[in-house]
Amino acid sequence: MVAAVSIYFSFGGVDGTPGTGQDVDALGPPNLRFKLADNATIDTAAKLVIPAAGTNYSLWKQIYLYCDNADGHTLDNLKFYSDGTNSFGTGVVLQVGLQFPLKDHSSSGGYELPTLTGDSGDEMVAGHTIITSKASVFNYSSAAPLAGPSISEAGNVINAAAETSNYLVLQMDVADTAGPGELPVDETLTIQYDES
Amino acid sequence: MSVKGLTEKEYKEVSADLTWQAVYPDRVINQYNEDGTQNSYDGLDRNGMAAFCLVNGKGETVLTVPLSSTQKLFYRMRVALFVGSHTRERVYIVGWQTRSARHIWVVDSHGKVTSYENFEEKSQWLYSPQFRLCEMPEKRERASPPTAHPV
Repeated sequence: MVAAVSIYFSFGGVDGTPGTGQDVDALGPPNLRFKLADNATIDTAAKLVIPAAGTNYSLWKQIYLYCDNADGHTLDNLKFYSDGTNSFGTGVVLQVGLQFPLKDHSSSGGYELPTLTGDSGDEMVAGHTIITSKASVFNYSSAAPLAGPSISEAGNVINAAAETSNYLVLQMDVADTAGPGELPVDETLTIQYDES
Repeated sequence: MSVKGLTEKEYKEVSADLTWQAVYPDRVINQYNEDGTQNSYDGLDRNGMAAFCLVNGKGETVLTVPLSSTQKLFYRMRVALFVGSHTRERVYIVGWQTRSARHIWVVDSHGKVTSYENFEEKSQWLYSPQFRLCEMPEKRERASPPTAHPV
């Protein structure tokens, strides 16, 4: 037996109290869609708008690792990475915040409701209180993963059902150089952890 | 990110399922007891442990790591959840360390065992774990017990 874990994201509600925790494994394909609506619906509504100049943003998504059943095991040392190659095409990047807002089994204190201004979500570094820097997820590969998200549960480990990691904040950028239409591919993201 | 609409419990497992076995001079502790209950790695008695083994589903020993009294055991199952291809890959890390030496064995998802002298932080599987206190070398490794001298 191994611990049973899932990947969730929070949406709706208010700052510090999300309306819903959604298991992304129950969605899709694809599991996550970056768009201009804050919900779990996998559809083509609320599309991102290519700006005439500059960059527009999706609403950010706050995802986390959720323990369905620890089965007596301890989880820690989380890593996050992509395949290291951006195949979304020119002008489209998926960004990850380099800070990990508070999320544990009893608190979603780091959760901040994404907001919209005109045709764009508000950019995460400017709009999310905890996020002060970000990088393309494609900077992180299996050979050079991002260390995190961190864990705020007791002992900085996950060892019981309903315990979680802190939030990982993701947002898609669309520049004026992007072409119209559906993205050419889906990308795979990986969360890795130690279990003992 | 794309998946085929499966649930988490249906993550496609691409790795061998191994369990551990702690060997003492007078007994063996298996990760799982015959009655289905399990023993905790963190709760293992480190004193006098002669070896730590990984065993496959057929009961065959895949890896045996002999241990001396100064070698501090560490063990992790390293799990990658690939959200998109909806697969789960597991790699097993077993090793020991003293203040001056370290040895690591990695059992990959195909069951191949490779040994290393140290961790490699820029690697998919061989980066350092977050060590527990019981896995850390003692600050001063004990020399032989002092000999009593008659006064």
